[in-house]
Amino acid sequence: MTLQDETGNNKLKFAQSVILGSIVVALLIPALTILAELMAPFKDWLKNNFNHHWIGKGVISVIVFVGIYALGFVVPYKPSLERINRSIFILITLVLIGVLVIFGFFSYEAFLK
Amino acid sequence: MNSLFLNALVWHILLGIAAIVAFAGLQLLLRGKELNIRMIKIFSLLGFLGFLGSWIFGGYYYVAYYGKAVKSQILKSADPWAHNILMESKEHVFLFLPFLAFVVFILVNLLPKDVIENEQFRKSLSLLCFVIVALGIIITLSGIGISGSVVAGKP
Repeated sequence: MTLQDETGNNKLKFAQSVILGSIVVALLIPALTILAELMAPFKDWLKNNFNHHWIGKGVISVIVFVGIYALGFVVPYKPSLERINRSIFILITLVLIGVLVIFGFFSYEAFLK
Repeated sequence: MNSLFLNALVWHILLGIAAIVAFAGLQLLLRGKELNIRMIKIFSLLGFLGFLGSWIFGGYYYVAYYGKAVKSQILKSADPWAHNILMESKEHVFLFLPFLAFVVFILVNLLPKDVIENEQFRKSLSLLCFVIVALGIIITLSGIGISGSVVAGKP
């Protein structure tokens, strides 16, 4: 593999890892949101450790994003633009599902519970 | 509300709207026949920084002022759903935006050649920008609804 190929591969891998980190965050945000509402001790833990539960969710999301990004960069695999296109589509789908889950959960809590 | 909180709220709104405009512009740039990669990179940076700034200013206002002074006012009003649904959803959905904006920023800056050469990649990026803009508009409208409920609830 030439140096140019390797640089190109590293760029693709970097990009893929950033998307992968965001995909996990897209799953994490609704999960943390609902968990904190349903489990008071978890919400208290967030408040006690991060001053506010919302800050806690943001900080945890950033930490997990960085962790998954690093993992995605270290784990050996062959990155490609096709894989990146697929990952963007997965990310968009999960974000839209996450938005509906969050909105649906708070609507249920406000009107139906 | 003191001037510090007022400034935080104003900058939260201004930077958020600037970011939405930047990503709407970026989507248009990606659909152009002749791509201006320099402008695409600049718009992606502005959009990302806009959401980052909006997150920080909005977060400060929300944590330090909203919860103590505004939330109780809305909950006592005729429209408690403005907090229970709109604000609760808005504050959590917003968390997606800086990450999505960062993804776009990284992709256009790291893979500009692919942005030019690969139509499918351009379409994926354009769709991602559209989602960012749509979520940004939904969050903005929620903010307007929340502010409206506060104004309507005042004697």
